[in-house]
Amino acid sequence: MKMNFFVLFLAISVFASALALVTKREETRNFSKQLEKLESERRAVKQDWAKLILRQSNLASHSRVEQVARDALGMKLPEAKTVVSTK
Amino acid sequence: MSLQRKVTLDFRNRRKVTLALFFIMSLILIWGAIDLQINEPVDLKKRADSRSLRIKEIPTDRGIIFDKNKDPLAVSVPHYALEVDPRKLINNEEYQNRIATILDWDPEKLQKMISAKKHRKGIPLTRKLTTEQKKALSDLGIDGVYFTEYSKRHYPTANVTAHLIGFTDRDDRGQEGIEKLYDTTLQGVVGERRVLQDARRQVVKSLQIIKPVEPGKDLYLTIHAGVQYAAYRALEKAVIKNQASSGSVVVMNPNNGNILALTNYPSFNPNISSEKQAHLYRNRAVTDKFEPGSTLKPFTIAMALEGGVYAPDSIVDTSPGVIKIGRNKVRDAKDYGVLNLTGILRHSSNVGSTKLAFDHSPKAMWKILWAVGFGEKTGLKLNGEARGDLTSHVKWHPFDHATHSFGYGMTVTAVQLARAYSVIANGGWLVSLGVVRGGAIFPKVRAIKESTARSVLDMLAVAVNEGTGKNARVQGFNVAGKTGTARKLLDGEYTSKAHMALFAGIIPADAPELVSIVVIDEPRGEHYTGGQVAAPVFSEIMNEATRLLNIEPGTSGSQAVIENFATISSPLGSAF
Repeated sequence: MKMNFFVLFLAISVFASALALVTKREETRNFSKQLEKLESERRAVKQDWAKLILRQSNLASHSRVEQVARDALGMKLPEAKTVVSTK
Repeated sequence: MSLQRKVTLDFRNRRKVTLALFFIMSLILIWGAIDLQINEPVDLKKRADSRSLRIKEIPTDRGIIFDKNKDPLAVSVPHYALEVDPRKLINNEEYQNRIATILDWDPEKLQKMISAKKHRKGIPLTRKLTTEQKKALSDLGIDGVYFTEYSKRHYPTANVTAHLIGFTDRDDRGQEGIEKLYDTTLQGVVGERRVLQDARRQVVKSLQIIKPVEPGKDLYLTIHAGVQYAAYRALEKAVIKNQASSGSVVVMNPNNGNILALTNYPSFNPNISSEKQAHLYRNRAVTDKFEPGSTLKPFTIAMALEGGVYAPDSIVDTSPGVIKIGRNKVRDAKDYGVLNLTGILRHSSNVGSTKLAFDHSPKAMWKILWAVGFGEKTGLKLNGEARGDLTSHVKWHPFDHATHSFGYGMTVTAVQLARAYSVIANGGWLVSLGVVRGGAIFPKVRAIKESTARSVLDMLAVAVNEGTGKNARVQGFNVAGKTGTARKLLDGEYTSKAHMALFAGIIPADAPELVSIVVIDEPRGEHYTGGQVAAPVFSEIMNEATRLLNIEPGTSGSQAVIENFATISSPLGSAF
């Protein structure tokens, strides 16, 4: 009788661990899928960001700002004698 | 009765035969299964897996290079290359025309290309596909049109930072400059994952990550894009105006060794491949050695002060403006008579420097030059950095001893000179130069006494205010600095036709925050001296840099310095 219980217990354990293995494997797959998705998202977002800062830096480049200030807005650097420093 | 029995017997036999047949067939099937499972399972399993299991790369992008204010200097942006399979498009003129329209090509050109290579698996059409074109082409949903993603590096500051940043090759690998030096950091590590593919090579399922991806790290430099631009623009203007062959500018913070600007002219645009010509790559500020000429004299003064025999107001008789050493002569532009140490710098007297050197041993002269970093690399680690030439004092003849005191017979790079002037600016410490934020920090080493550094700094301020460096003055600031006009060696002889115009400056002189070196090689215009050619470039750059870096003009310290001048110059007021 005792022996039978033990065998039953082992059988249940084997069954349970088999189920757990399958579940965990599925979980791992899902997680790696998720990780992959997030990584490719991160990459896409970073690429977008790179494009945007490149555009920003082209628009705000020193040479362009200088050109627009001089040509389009008619600005010029103040002469040294007209500069007053305040403290 | 007998008939019935016979029939039963027949049935029994038939049943036995049928069962036996079934039994044999099952045995064959079982044997077949056992055979497949045991005798050749590995081979079959392999064949099955090879059809579906693949290892795919997980791509990563190259890190961005930023300046100290997070302005981008080098950015990788994905681009797409287009490839078509002629075998799938050859019979479909409508598709060919659509592709041509999207690419803005002549349809005939595309047709010709496709029919000429109709047996090939794929032909590349273009590497310059815009995002819109790519979308339009994928929306067509045509079989036989493939895209390959690749990364292209963009340099928003183009020519201005070309030598320092360098560039990458087609595969986004660093080839020159910072790009090459920090290639591994910027590159990152491409990952790998195991995937299941179907027969059309489409990924059905991602199974496992074998190697995690490590994205390329961004790099922050100590460069200030604004100062860099100001330096490049002023340098370009000066090189063109003076018909010089080239020029370099270094701007650095003497207190921590950080380089704020490092630029050369002529330069190239790293965004345009046709402009990438090898002779333009050289980062002259780091690779080119030159004789520093008079810009070295402050260190001769420092040697004299360190020796303890001389004080700032000690006097030296430079009459008659020429001194004979063996068969050679050292001359001044004219007879300056009796000068104090400040006067030697102010008039840039070769005779005065020689006399100071001869009052000390060659070893003392060599020691000070070595202490301020000449003859060794600066810590920048940039490609091709020159060490400069500083021969051992043991090998010096008396004339070598003399020439070293006014910057001949040895060579330096622009960055070495900047580092040496930092010693004067920061109170006597030799710092390691750095161009990357958070790079290796080396302990600063005491090179000269603080009092020596302070005295030389004060003398250099006089050299700018009253001496050869007047053109380097910056409105509202007290500037310290020294001009240099070095003759160049031509076929082993010094020529009066080719010069290096130099200026080494420190600003503000009362509490130095910037050191800058301007080198103009072979000016062939109306002027050729450091004071006329290089000093104005310093002034122009510093005018911008002090504004961009919020450096306060004229602090209370400047008063102290001016008083100090008075005490230095009073005993020999007439000499000025």
